[in-house]
Amino acid sequence: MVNKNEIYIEISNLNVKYGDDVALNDINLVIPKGEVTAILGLSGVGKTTLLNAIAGIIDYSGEILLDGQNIKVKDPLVGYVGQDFGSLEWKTVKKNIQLGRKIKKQKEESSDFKRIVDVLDIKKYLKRYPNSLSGGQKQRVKIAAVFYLMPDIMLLDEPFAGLDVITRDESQNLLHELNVEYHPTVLLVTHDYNEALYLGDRIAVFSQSEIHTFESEKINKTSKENLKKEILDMMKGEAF
Amino acid sequence: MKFFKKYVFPIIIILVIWQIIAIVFKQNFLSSPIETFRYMIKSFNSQILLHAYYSVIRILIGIIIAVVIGFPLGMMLGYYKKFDNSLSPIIYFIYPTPKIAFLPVFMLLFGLGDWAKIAIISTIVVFQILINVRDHIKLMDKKVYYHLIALQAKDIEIFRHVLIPAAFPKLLSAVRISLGTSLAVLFFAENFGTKYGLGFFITDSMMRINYPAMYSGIIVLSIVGFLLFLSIDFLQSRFVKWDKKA
Repeated sequence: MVNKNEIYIEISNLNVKYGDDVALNDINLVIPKGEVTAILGLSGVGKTTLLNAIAGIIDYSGEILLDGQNIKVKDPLVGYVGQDFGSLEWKTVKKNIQLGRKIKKQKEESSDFKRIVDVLDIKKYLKRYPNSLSGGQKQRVKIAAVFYLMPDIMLLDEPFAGLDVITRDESQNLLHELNVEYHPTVLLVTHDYNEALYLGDRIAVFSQSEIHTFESEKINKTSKENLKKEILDMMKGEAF
Repeated sequence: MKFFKKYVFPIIIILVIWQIIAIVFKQNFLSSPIETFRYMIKSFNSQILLHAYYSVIRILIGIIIAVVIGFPLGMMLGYYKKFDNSLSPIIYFIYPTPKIAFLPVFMLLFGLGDWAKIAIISTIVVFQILINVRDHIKLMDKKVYYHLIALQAKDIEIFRHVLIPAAFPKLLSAVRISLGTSLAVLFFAENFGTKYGLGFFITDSMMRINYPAMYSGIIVLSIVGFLLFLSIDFLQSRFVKWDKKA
């Protein structure tokens, strides 16, 4: 259990409907500050919908609190990378990366910019437009944009999918480093169990509109094989 | 070489066909291109340039006014659903009406001078822009800028960073589509209440049975249209570098 003092985001009785379809039904989840919460679950269980609700993109009923206050009132700096958004095709790669800071009127940090661009290996196409890049390269641009923004809350919806093995490892390492340095609160939706285990301080497993959370203590104590079995069973709904 | 193939070569073919027709039919009203160009060179500075100047100014001001009104309004209609719901019925009512029917109204409102002609061009172009831009914004997937909504970007920033650049190619397409009609209407409108403009020059030359002058006017009007099209292509290549389909 998360200590009450450590709760940063508190989601209570969250319901989301798309017309008559229920996307999220009575979801409750607490997220501590400065940690990476990896979210695992089968396709269509509502992982992306949860991120959209936190980002304030979709309407919902229920409560999402940040430090005890409505998240919309608190107006935190939220960086969001989705499966099919995160960069604008009419802006060059460089301008896409800088856009978040420009909108939030934050000053440029050239050393951070250089570091992120170097690690993600996008220096050579900073002046190009996203639609001239491959899928993997575009993904790197989106990751660079959200990393450079250094937001309070990072919502990452399968950010490393579609990357080659080397870039994926380096991007994951960079996220890990940034996390150690400035402690953003990260919600990482992934289908990759190993990625969740490597990056996540905690793992939230979505199953049939319920969420079961594995805290870091349990993750560290349980053997990898047992943990994997337990998580997979939960995803299938067998543990409930 | 590319320019020659694309533009000069077709023009040469048209001129050759025209010359052949003029020789074969030998009609008084069918001036040959040689006669026409001889007249054009002779009277270009003294007459044609002045008429072309008036026509170009009218059409440019007409387009600029249409863009200034139509582009922001089209974006707002596409973005704000309530605004669209309240204004669209009026637009749908006016849009199908042939805009030339408004010419007498504009003449009464603005007099017989330039402004009635400019107003009719603006009216033609503005609806094309409005509908094109509005539909483009409406059909745009909002996911494109989800990351900006998450940042709680203000509407003005959404307009600046998303809607304006996204809709700009549609604006150019709308102007391009309406150019032909605008030129036709300008030709018609310049036959009323003015002694300057290519429309007046062409009709006046016909009345005076000065056919080389008449054809010179038609050619210059075509060149004006051609240059306007090229200008739009230039704007497209300059400001829509990101769109490979453009």
